[in-house]
Amino acid sequence: MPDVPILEIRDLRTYFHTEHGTAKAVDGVSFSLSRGRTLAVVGESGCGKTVTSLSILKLIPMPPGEIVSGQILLEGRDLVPLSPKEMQPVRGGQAAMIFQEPATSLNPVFTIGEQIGEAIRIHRKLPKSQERSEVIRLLTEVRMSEPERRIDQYPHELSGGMKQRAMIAMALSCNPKLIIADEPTTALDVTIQARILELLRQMREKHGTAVLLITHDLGVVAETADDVVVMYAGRVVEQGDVRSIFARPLHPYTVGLFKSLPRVDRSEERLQEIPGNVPSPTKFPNGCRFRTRCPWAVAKCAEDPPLVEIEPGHKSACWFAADLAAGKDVNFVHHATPGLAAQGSSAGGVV
Amino acid sequence: MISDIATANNDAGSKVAASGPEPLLVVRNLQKFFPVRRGIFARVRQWVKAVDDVSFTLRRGETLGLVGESGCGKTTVGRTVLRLTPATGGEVVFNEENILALPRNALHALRPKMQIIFQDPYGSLNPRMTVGSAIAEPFRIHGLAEAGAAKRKPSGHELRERVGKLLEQVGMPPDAQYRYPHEFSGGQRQRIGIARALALKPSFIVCDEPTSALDVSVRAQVINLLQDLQRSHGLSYLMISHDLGAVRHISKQVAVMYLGRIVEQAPTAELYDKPRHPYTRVLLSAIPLPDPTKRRNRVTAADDEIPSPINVPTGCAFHPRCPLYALLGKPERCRAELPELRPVELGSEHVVRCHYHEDIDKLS
Repeated sequence: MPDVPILEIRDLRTYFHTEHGTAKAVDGVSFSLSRGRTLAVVGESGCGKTVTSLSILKLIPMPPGEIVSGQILLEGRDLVPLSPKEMQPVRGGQAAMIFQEPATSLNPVFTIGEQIGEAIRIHRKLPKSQERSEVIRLLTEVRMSEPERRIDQYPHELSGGMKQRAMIAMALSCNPKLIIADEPTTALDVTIQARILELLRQMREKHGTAVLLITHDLGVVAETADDVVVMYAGRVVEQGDVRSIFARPLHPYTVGLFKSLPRVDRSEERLQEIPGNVPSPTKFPNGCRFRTRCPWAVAKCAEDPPLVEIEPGHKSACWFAADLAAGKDVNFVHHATPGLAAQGSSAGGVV
Repeated sequence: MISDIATANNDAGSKVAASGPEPLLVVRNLQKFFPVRRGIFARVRQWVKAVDDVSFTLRRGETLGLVGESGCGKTTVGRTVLRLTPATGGEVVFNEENILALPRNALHALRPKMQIIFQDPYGSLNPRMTVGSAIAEPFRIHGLAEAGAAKRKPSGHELRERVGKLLEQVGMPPDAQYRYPHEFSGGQRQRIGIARALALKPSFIVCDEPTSALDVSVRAQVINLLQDLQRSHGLSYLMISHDLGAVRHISKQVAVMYLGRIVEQAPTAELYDKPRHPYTRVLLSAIPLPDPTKRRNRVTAADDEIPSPINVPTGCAFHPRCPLYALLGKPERCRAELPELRPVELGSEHVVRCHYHEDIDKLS
């Protein structure tokens, strides 16, 4: 087990002050990530996973955003009190970020070579003469085809997969200790996605980089992550290593996510569905935030369930996690669409 | 709902197609080419063959899944089939009429029967219209679509009642009609889009990536709703999606497209469990499975980049990236000759466009 984690987040709270009230987008999140590991933060839109990742490099627009409390320890140093100037060498140097849309995160008026070269110039003292060969080396490392030609091309001349490779080359240019990848493959086709994930895995093994992977795709999580944090409505609801979470989820929300997933490797009669919608961040229910959609919810759930260790290394924030650990099943019974039963007879049949 | 194998001229295939419910939609040799012009007054230099020689049959009450990666032409197929964009060639026979040849007024009369649901529930609803007026708009154009009733202008009261019923059918409260689209979540907006598509009692709906913009928990709700509606209303769906999990779940048959052509089509379980085209293998094995105990053997393409549809490779369009072509020592035939869509064995509903599909298991 490695000693000091690369990244440790303690009780992070990032709020947004809006005219509709305060949105507690991230509300008491803690986790840590060690060298050479991949931690996946999973959840649906509005769960706070992206705000968590942006808070780490302090890329939250302030105002309206505000890191209300908590610590973000990058190799032991707290980033929260740092000034924008002090943050400069951290971003891109110690920690780099890969975004979902390579098309919008690359500057359209500069060539790929100029943009990767800029990152090297800012963070590394490298003679100008070596800059070009270093960029070509990086492009070769991320398996860009024909790197000598690509270096002088503009983003629009590259396909989505090639743009994402260029982004990864840029992220790697300063040998960061931490790479934050926010939905890095969501905009790509599946065959390209598989290649990019493979590339991230190789980079992690080769350089010992820690990867914080933000995603909604449970398939991607299962294939790439060592550890998993499941977020719902600004809180961590479950946390553990990838195998135990997939083998036996200990939070009803995680169970619901798995059950509602249509699979390519088997057929099922009907998908179970989590009823309702993710609550708006200005209107989170008190207590367990999932209770408005949870089939197990009882009066006690109006009290905040703490995130506690149920099995070794596997934590859950549910009053009934022990029941799940004991093998009890959560059933998201599907209620047939209410209007259909009545309407079916009159409109039914082939027109 | 077997693909129309007319292109392959296979009698055994047509016999199979004759069993089961009758066909609702038969697409034959559909083509859609887009001109490429350089400069403002320049002549057409090249054509993008977005859809080339696509044929399939959709039977009543069933779902045909159309899958493929971006740029394969699946969305263009959906639009051309509905004549939202004119076709370059081919036939689309709906209710025994070739809709590509219909005059405008006859097409207008047929429109209520054919609807579409879009991917983006944010972009497909007018933000200035209440949900009620968006759903009621088809009634203002086509009347209330009552069986036998003459077309007439519906009263406000009738409209509100009908819209309320439609909203109930998609699991929304009837009074949602007085609110605006921005007040609803993505899943709820998709339900509103579905209610609007159902308004005129269609028999056929093109679902263009209906779940791609939705979260996992909400995606299951929408898939279940589409299935419930299919059963209660006898609907037929053309389900266009890159979400291969959702397509497996909802479809009876699945067709895989690559660079404007169907390369493989089969009953769903067979396509997913025993794919015969190398591209289908590459595509399916690229999908990450939500099971960390399974490490899969990936079949990967020889080249990541999909060629431009302006310069489709000769012979089999997939050959430059095909792992089987590479494995078999780059046979001349793949470069020279376009493979036909043929049944994998005589009389099979499973058709594949590959010269060497019998060697597919050499790829491991």
